[in-house]
Amino acid sequence: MRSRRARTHDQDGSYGAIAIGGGEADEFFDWPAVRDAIVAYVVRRGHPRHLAEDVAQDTIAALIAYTDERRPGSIYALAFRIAANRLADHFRKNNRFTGELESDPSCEKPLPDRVADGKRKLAILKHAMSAMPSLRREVIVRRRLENQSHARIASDLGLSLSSVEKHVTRGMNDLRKALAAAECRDRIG
Amino acid sequence: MRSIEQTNAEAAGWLDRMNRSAFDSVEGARFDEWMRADPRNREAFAEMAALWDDRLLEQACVAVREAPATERVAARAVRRPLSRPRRWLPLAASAAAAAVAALLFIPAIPVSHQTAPGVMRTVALSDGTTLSLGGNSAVTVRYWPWRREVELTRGEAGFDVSHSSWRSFEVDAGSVRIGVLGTAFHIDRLSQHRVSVAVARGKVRLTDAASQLDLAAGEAALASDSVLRRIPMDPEHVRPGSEWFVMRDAPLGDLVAKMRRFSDASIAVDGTLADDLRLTGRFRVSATEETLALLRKGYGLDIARDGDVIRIE
Repeated sequence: MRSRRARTHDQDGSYGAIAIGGGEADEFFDWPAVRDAIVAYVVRRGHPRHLAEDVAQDTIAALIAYTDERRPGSIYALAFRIAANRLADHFRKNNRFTGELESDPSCEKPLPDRVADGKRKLAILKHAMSAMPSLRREVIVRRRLENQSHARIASDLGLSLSSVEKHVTRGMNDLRKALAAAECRDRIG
Repeated sequence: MRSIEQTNAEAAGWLDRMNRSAFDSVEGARFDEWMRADPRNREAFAEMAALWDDRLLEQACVAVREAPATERVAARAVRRPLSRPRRWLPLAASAAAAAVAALLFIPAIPVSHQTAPGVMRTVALSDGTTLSLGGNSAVTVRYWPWRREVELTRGEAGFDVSHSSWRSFEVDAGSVRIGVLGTAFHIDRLSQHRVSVAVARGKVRLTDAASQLDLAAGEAALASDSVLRRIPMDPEHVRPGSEWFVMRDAPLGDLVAKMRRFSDASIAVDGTLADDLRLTGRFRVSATEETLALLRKGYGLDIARDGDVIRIE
């Protein structure tokens, strides 16, 4: 285990190298950066920081155990997948008796720069969806709600694959911008 | 220097690529490189992934989906008319569930194993878990890096699970799910709604629609009609393909299910009879004729043969 500890870690993101997969020279990975990315993800999902740190810790442990055996296609992709899964498990466990969803009993005060109110956030997302060009909205709904493949969407809507891609990334950005603008207003207000 | 816009567009592009089945190791390596290159990339990706995974986005999608049709897709680009039956509407819930699992980038290719009547088989799985299938039984195995899942679709199976503290192991036996860490146990899916579970080593947790039950080594339980209850454990319970079946006031249907594990001819029995006739005793289920004779003599049942089908009446 010793060989996989961080040797250096700079706060600015240049990474402390860690050998994985039996310490082959070209296999270095920056676990602290992965950890920070997971913390950012969980906090962005609207959860308190202590939970985010728990999930990140758990994710890294799972990743290290996994990379002991084999090399995943992508460490970051796997990390986000595990974290999302852990988060879902956490809420399944905590909500078994209350039947409530997405309410953390230990919830701290939301961060000031977050659109924390679910109802309001939903309204913002709905508004942003309605404001999109109709084709873009259709592509987003098909991707997010029905998990349709790009090929299927392209054939159903008579689009090329690259325009489906563009619609998805632009749609995501529309949604992100709408939330960011609301957060900005919150800060000023 | 790249603009924030560009970073966000790239983050969205990567997230969408990750959600596709074609996300392979070459793309995976490129994605890792992109994430490592700049903390702003990681921040942008985390933000985008959090937005995409948010249940509220799912709700927003449902809401705009249900908006009047005139507000929806521009007709010009539609090749396949959208007026075809909206079969997906009732499926919205399951589709949404699939979308939640959309980040799945390593496809868990299901692998099926099955046996013919009277045939036993031992399967060694990639993680060191051993699976012993009884006769006329079938399982589907799905392994993800973070989870192991086996569906017992038919019959019975014994499990010797290789321990992993972070990678759960779950068996779906229809009406009941069995979750474990590292242990040996046996599951018998007698019918759609009757599943018996016996634990030889370690501990398992049974979960059905309404309740949970923990079983330790040496304990057995029966999940039947939404009730989980403990039953005495017989040695036959932990051995798949056991030729003997011990019944204590159990329905005829259980015996028939056991006989089907060995019989080449299919055995049909009336549903009411299968539920209502309770049997007690030790039956050699591998010997179809012997057991049928016992049913005829001991319980006054009619056994009719109709080609390859045996009917119990």
